[in-house]
Amino acid sequence: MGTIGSAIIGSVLIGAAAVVHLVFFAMESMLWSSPGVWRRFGMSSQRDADIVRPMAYNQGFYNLFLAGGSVVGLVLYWTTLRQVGFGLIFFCGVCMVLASLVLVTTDRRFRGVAALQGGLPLLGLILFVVADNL
Amino acid sequence: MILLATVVVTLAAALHVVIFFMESVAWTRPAVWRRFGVASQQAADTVRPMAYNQGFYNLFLAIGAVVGLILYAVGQHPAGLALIIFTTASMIGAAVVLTTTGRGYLRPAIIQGILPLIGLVLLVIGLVNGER
Repeated sequence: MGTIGSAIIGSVLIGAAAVVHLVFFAMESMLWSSPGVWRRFGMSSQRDADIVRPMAYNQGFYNLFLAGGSVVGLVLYWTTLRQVGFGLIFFCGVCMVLASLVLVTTDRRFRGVAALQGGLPLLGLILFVVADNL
Repeated sequence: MILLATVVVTLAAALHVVIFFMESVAWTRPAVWRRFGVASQQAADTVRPMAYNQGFYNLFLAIGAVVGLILYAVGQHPAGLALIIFTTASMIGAAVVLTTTGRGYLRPAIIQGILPLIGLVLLVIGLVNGER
């Protein structure tokens, strides 16, 4: 596959992980009032959703920051500051993977979405590490 | 100036470890959840899974800041700076978001945001003055 090839596929996967985290941000911080959204987060009533709302609003932004950090990392990696870009991609990717593991330990029902949240950045990081060490 | 920035960023990281501890480890204590604006035991139980999750995001930011400081200290300046700037900017961003959450969130936002803000400003001043 070659160094460039695995860096390109890694970039696509990290980009996809960033999109997933943007969707989390939109759901937690912007669309939370919709029952179709809060039910996905394990809320069982409008009352519970209203109680959790301030924290959901805040947590959405942490996901936005991780998405933003990995996109900035990708841009730097492919333009001027390859090492800095790699550092940002690596940090944000590891955070996403660890957050998905935390989510699984919160509630087993979340394992499907956790696999998506953590699987994309994990594969992306593996390809980036391969690209950087060949 | 950068040495001072290092101290302040370390304090910001320590504070975020404390926030992690409160949200993810000690959440069941009423003295803890009251600090987060939660009004009753029932509400605290409802919020608990999300508090548990959010605590870890704060822990990751703290670890990222400390790893950035270590990388910088051992001479990996570009990668170290990238991590320090990203994690402190995220802490400041989270504090700003907290102010927009509702009434009563201004005080915790200042507590969360002031240390990373001072640390980042000192770092930028040091870098602009040509410190390494």
